[in-house]
Amino acid sequence: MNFKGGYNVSLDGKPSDEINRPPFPKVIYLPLFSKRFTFTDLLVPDGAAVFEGQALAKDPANFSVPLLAPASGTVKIDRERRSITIDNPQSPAGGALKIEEALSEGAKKAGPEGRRRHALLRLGAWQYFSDAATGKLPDPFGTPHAVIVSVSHLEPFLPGTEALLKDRMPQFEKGLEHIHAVSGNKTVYLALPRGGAKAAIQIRDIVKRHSWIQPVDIPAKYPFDNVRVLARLLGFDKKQNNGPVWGCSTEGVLAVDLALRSSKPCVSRTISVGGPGAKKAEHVEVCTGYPLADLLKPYQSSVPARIINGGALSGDAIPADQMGLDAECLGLTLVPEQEKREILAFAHPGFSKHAFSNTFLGNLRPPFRERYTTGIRGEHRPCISCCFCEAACPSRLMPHLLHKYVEKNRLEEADRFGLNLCVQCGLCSHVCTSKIEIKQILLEGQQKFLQER
Amino acid sequence: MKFLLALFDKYRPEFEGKKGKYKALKPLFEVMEYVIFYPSARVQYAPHVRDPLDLKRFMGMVLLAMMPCILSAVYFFGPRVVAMILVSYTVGGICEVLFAIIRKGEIHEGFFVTGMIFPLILPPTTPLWMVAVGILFGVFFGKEVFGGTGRNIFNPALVGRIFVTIAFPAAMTTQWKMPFADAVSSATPMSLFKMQQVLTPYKDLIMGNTAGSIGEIFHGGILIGGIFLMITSVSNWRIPVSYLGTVLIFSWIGATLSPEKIAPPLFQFLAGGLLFGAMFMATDPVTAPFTRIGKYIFGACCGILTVLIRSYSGYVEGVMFSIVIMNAFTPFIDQVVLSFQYKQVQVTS
Repeated sequence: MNFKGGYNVSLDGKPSDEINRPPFPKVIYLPLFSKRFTFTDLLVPDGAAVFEGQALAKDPANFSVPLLAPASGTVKIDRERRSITIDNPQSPAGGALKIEEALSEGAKKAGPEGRRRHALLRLGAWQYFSDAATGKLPDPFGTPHAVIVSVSHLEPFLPGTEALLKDRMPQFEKGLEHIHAVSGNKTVYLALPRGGAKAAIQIRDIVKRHSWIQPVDIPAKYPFDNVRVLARLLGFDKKQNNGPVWGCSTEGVLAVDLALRSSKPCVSRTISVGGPGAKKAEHVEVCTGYPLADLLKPYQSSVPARIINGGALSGDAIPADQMGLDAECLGLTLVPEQEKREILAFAHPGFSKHAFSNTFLGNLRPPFRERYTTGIRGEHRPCISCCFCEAACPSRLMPHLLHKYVEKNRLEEADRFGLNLCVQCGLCSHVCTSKIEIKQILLEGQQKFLQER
Repeated sequence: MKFLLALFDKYRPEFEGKKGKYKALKPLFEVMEYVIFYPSARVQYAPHVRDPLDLKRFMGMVLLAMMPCILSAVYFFGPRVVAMILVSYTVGGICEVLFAIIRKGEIHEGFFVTGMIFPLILPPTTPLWMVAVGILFGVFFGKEVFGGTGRNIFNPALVGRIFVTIAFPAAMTTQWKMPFADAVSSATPMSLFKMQQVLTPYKDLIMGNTAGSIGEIFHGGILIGGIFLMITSVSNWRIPVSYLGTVLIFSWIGATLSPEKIAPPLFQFLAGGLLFGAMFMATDPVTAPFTRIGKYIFGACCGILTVLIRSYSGYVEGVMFSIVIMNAFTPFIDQVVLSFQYKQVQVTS
């Protein structure tokens, strides 16, 4: 495979492999939205008593993927804040759901194969999957052409493989076996960055034991962990008619194991908390809906920081009205807001700065981590076609050309030059010398193109 | 420095919004503020961390790379060079500021490079008013009428240089001077070859001990600056390498076929404005193709044109014409390359 582009932003505040388990919260705020889903169909009335693992709402646009109650208690629906509150929830017993009761009538009639698919969807494991061509939720009852499992997150910062797989290696292997079975015995492509520590060695042992696992060596460079990029590099976009390609990450494999082996709802998440604005950086295991204020208290310092849902490059800032952890959150990255204005910044030798180009002396130093802020670090200027965005793009696009077409509303041409192959990794905006919001412009262009078609 | 920031904060309302007293002068105020202090703007959309390289640094690196040329020019020709640079910056700067005010836009950093390149490619005897006329023409017709930095088709400094060459041919082609000399009208290495087939020693060419435009005779320094730019990835290596490589190969073939017309490759490489043009002007990202293959084509065509104009035209030097001619073909080259490259995508999407 020929990897081109990609870039590692050496951000300060990398989470350690420790997993912190904070006490169970006194209140749960379940947001009715997440990155891909909006749970518009409410399944419980206001004031109803719910049990742990009960489906509270579902997203009709995404194969009715459910929002699960992380604990039993009484629900309060807050439409204004788009969230469901559970006051004084009972600590989860961690018991298995009686899957026969939890499944719908239709699911019971399906054979063992269909039952497994229903269980995945019902127990919240299916939402860890994505279609490797579009990034959306794939049809849970479809038959894939292949499955790509991206083991490591390479974005700063999402959960590390070592932390996720600590003491969970057998579960990971079982999860892979389940995925293989559910997919109809299709090949599972396991993308693993070159090098790596303890977990990587153990995973390579797993690969040796199963002939249906096809290892894929990827460079340890963001965003080659992205299943959409991987699918294209593996040549799957040209074989569309053979069915979709499923993608998932380590979290997804563990969720499948939890759902199919022990019939437990996937309501607990191991997320990373880190970034240059965090006092300490580690992993935490919490339930969905955990109050963000309580969760972040030990990590916030006196410097105001922006809380980003996901990594610093592709994540979005958490909206002010979101009170609890959403159902798709992988990690929280804290980036300090820019407060001080640097003096004569362009003339600094830049020993403490990282740049994509070799224009700062920091590039001559041994690897170090930079304390980035949210400063835009320059002024908006017209594109000068320096082509750094093209050099960084993992999808081999020309963002400098595409953004001009989108701005002129020539979407047909932009599509011809691959607008819809953009995976929103954000590297183009990161490296832009003219500080153009290329990623945002391309995203809006994609949405507009889909609407017009 | 806090006092200075307070000063800017105090006077900013006067330059901003609809009510500001001096709102027309906002570009001038902005340029002063942002040169000293980083903009306070924060990122709105993902990604939330940004690379530290901005256009100020980018253009600053080009100026840094030109330092050997600038310093050698001052050393060779004395304070006159400083006066020429000052005139170029002042007159071109006024033009740039006026257009920023008319457009209600910003003053762009690219001007600092144009305003420096232009005096460096003039003969040492150029009268100061001619510097003023040239830079004014270059900035106005080379850049501003196209819409400013990023939209210009031709390299503005070269537009100005070609204008003064055609408008004032005597001053631009006969009034050469050796470094440290008072006597006017010595011949440049290129014209020495053209008239008498005399090859200037390579040592003199490298160290700048020849007549020629003020910034382009110290070829050793230009080479260092150009390589510095390529290492820092500010300029793309593809254009200088293909440009200079084509000149070497093409003149090697030509020199064996007609040695009285075409100079030997190493002489072509080190004499005249070739190195300066290839390192600092052909690499201008705005006016060169953005496709990788296009860059090779651009460089190769520049190289062939340079050797042809140098050998078979009435002009002694062909670098500036070749670059400007290829600037005009830049959009066409990109279109052709793209239409070949994206045939496949068109079918699958």
